[in-house]
Parts: sequence; C-alpha cells; structure tokens
Amino acid sequence: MQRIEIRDEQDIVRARTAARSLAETLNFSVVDKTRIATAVSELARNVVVHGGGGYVEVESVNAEKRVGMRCVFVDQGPGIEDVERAMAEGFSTAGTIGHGLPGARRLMDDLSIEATPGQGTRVEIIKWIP
Amino acid sequence: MSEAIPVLGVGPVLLVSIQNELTDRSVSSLHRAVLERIQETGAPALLIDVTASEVIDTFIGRILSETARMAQLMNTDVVLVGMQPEVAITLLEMGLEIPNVRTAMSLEKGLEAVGYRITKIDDDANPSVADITESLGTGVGDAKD
Ligand SMILES: Nc1ncnc2c1ncn2[C@@H]1O[C@H](COP(=O)(O)OP(=O)(O)O)[C@@H](O)[C@H]1O
Ligand SMILES: [Mg+2]
Repeated sequence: MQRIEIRDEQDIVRARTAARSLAETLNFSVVDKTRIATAVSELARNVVVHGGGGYVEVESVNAEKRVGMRCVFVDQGPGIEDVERAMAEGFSTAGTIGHGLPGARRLMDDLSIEATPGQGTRVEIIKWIP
Repeated sequence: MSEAIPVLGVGPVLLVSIQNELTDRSVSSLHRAVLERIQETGAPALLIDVTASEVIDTFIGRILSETARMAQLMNTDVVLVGMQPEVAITLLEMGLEIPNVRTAMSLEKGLEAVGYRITKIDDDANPSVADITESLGTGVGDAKD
C-alpha cells in the first residue's frame, strides 16, 4: 500500500502518477489506465480544493476470483452536506463544472463516499481487471 | 517548472502544446500568452496540441474549452490536435464536452483543417549551380558525368 499526501497541485500529479504505475504493474488496459488516472486526478483535486488537503492510499486488491486496485481519499475538511446532491451531474459548491464525482463514478467500477459534515470526507474507488 | 507555455507561430497559425503537468499558474499564463499573440498577429487559427496529455480531467478540459472560446471570440479558428484515443474515450465517459472545437489526429491534419498544407519545396525552385551552368550549355555540369 502506498500513501501519498495531497496538499497542492504537484501532489495531484504525484497521486495520479502513483495510481497509473500500479495500474501498469497490474496490467490494466491502456484505456483503463487512463480512466483510473483521470478519476484519481479528479478526486485528488477535490481533496485539495474542497477538503483542504489530505491523503490517498493506493493499493492492489485480491477478492475471491478478482484482482483490481483501490484508492482511498481521505481529508478532514468540511465534509459533504448532501452526498446525493454532490454526486449529481453539474453540482458544484465551488463554481466549477461539477462533473468530477459523477464522472469518476462512471470511470471506475465502484465509488463510495462517507462524509460527515464538519469532520471530513472519505472517497473510495475500485477498478477490477476484467 | 511548468511555468510559461510557449505560443509558437507556424506561418500565420499559432500553436500551443499542453503538457501533462498543467497548474493554475501555467493556465493563467497560457490564457495571457494566447490572447496577446492573437492580438499581435490576428492569427486566423490556433492549434492546441494535446499529444503529451495522458490525462484530461475536468480541470484541464475546462481550460481547453475556455482557451478555445476566448480565441473564437477573437475570430480565431481552433483545432485540438493529437488527442490520444484513450483520452477521448475517457472524456466522453466523464461527460465532458469541448464545444465548437474541431479535432485532428496530427499537426499536418490540424493545419489542413484550417486551410494550410505543408509541402516539400520543389528542388527546381532552388536550382543548383550545376543546373544553371547546364542550362546555359557551358558544359561545366556535364564534366562530372
Ligand atoms: N473532498 C471533499 N470535501 C468536501 N466537499 C467535497 C469533496 N469532494 C467533493 N465535494 C463536494 O461535491 C461537489 C461536487 O464535486 P465535483 O463533482 O468534483 O465537482 P467540482 O469539483 O467541480 O465542484 C463539490 O462542489 C463539493 O461541494
Ligand atoms: Mg471536482
């Protein structure tokens, strides 16, 4: 498991580089590697912009008959008041385009959010090797 | 590191290459540089080269849209050049659109899309000394044969 601190833009690049290289090691396809790197880029940016900094843990996962990778983004920012609304297409509290969360969900096999207002946000994404 | 993004001139056409590590700072410098060059030159077209972009997320996607829209407002045609297929697929799946912007697979195709073509210079247009002397019939050109 690799943990990358996320404070600024350079860390966003670091996070997606780490995710891409694990995806490479696990033999994900070219398109899947790009999907993973893009989702990581979105969520790492959310940690910086909305969460005030945090970290991501990147690791491979072995389930019964499946192999894949998981990234868990954690911050201790303001959390999310209404997770369902945050997941909606085009919703943003920052005046940006609001496609990050719903987009990342489509690119990955699984995306789940735990957010407590005032305490922080944890976003987990998983991609399985087909 | 990724501060200034150079805006190159290829004939009257402007060319910017987006590198992977685009930051807020390089973005505002990109906008400024493109705007200035269009004002200076009245360029008819801007090619934005994304060949090196392994990831186009919503942040970079929005920058591309805004740069394109800004250029279009100044009557400059915009073509996105060299987007990798996996990047295009990912953009679509993200639900990101870059409206009113054409795409081209290569720089050559991008230039063609805005009405220019790279042609090899015809050798006859720049005759060598031997060609000239030969055409004058002085025999100097024949000596080597
Ligand atoms: N880590 C986070 N901490 C707090 N709020 C977040 C976090 N990530 C996302 N959000 C909330 O969800 C909204 C939607 O996020 P997203 O889809 O990435 O769009 P955008 O980043 O353009 O606003 C954000 O505007 C913000 O309100
Ligand atoms: Mg976002």
